[in-house]
Amino acid sequence: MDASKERGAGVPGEPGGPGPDQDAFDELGRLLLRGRTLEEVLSRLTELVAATVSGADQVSLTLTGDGGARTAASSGPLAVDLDHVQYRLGSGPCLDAAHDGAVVRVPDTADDARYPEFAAAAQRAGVRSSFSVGLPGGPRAPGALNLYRVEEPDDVDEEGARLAELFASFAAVALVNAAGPDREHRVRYVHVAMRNRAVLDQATGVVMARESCDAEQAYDRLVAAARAQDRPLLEVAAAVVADLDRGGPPGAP
Amino acid sequence: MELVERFTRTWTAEASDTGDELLPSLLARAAARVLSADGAGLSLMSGPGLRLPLGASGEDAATAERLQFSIGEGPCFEAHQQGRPVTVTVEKLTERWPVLAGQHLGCTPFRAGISTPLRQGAERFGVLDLYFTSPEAPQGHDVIAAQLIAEVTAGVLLETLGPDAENGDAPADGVPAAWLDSPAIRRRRDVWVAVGMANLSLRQSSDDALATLRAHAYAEGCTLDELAHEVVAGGVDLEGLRADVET
Repeated sequence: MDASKERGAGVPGEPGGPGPDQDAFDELGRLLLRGRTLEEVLSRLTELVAATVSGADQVSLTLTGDGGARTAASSGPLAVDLDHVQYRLGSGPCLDAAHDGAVVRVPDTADDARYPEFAAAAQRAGVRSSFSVGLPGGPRAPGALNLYRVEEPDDVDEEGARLAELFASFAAVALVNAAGPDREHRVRYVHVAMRNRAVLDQATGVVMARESCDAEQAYDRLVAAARAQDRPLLEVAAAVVADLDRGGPPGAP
Repeated sequence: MELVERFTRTWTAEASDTGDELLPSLLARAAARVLSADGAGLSLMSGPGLRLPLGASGEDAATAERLQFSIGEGPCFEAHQQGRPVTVTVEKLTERWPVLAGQHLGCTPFRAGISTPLRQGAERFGVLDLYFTSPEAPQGHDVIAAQLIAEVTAGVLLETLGPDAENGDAPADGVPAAWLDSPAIRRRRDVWVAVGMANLSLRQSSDDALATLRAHAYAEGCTLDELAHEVVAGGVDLEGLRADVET
């Protein structure tokens, strides 16, 4: 397949074909980005899957890391109940999906040979089919996204399955990213490093214009001024820029 | 193969052959490839005015970034300011940002795009721009997939900062290591030097000086980066720019 001719190759849906409303997807993106904490992002994510994937009436996210399986987020109580049934049994599609990082379908809970106990419990609860997709994060993010369908058998269609896999990737990335405790520091570092250097460059320009010298000489003068005043170079540079921004006379570096 | 896995395999396959400073370009190329885009660029942003090009998949994508930075507005700025993905078609570009549209459509082959923020939690620090030569509007799943790759890219960038980044202490000499000192960034630095020169020569605040340089670049039909390079080289009479401001 020539991917360049098919935008969206490898992601759900066919370009130009019938698909969910564009505005709805844009809105999904906005909602997702608004999530502040990991819990909020995951919770929002299960709601988005329920809202966009046909046949996903209730959605949950199972995590199977240290301390055993647990439901980290869900779009409704029925999904939580059915997750817990599987945790108690120690067997079920969500656990196998999480373990294998694969898709596990139960197309009809009225007739399922692989998970008879789970299927019976699901049917009693009114759930007719389920679709679980393992998170692709590997051992760093073991878990599964579970889509439960009430009333109708037959789990999600091909489009829904691809969308569910995309959302499962999102959950995995969110989990892995949240695992880095020093990430906040690193973002601050990026911002501070950018601003510091911009201030230094700008102050260099001020000195170049004032003293009709080149960039290297201007930088050297800033360094010399900092040394003479026993102040940090950045402080001196910031003062040079700040004086001009206030509209006052430029202070000697 | 799953999208994130393909992305990771694509950029890591080339990573060993190049220095850290080219990592952003590798990431941009890999993003374009797995998202079936015709170009991609990564920018760092801090506040409304400070924007550095990290790397691009190719020359057209780099040009698109420079044009937008020259004008000072566009989908990339909006994605950063609003913290959400912004999709663009020829119609939307022409309607929302007519000045940028005139230049973008004339100078690049791209007719549609997606800009999506790079972030860590709620904190944004840059943008991934995807460009398409087809005029077709990006689909919803393209947008979701772009956000996914932006999340992964943000993670890779933050993880590959130098060890001194862990405690958040930026280097005192203002010259951080690795990809924060990419060739694209070094070229952009002339803009801040030029702003400083204009600060003094025109007695303008930093914001006004930047706006003056932008207006002059537009009037001259060049990018802000090109003008800044000329200014720093001493080839522009800054006093003369005052006329631009006052007329």
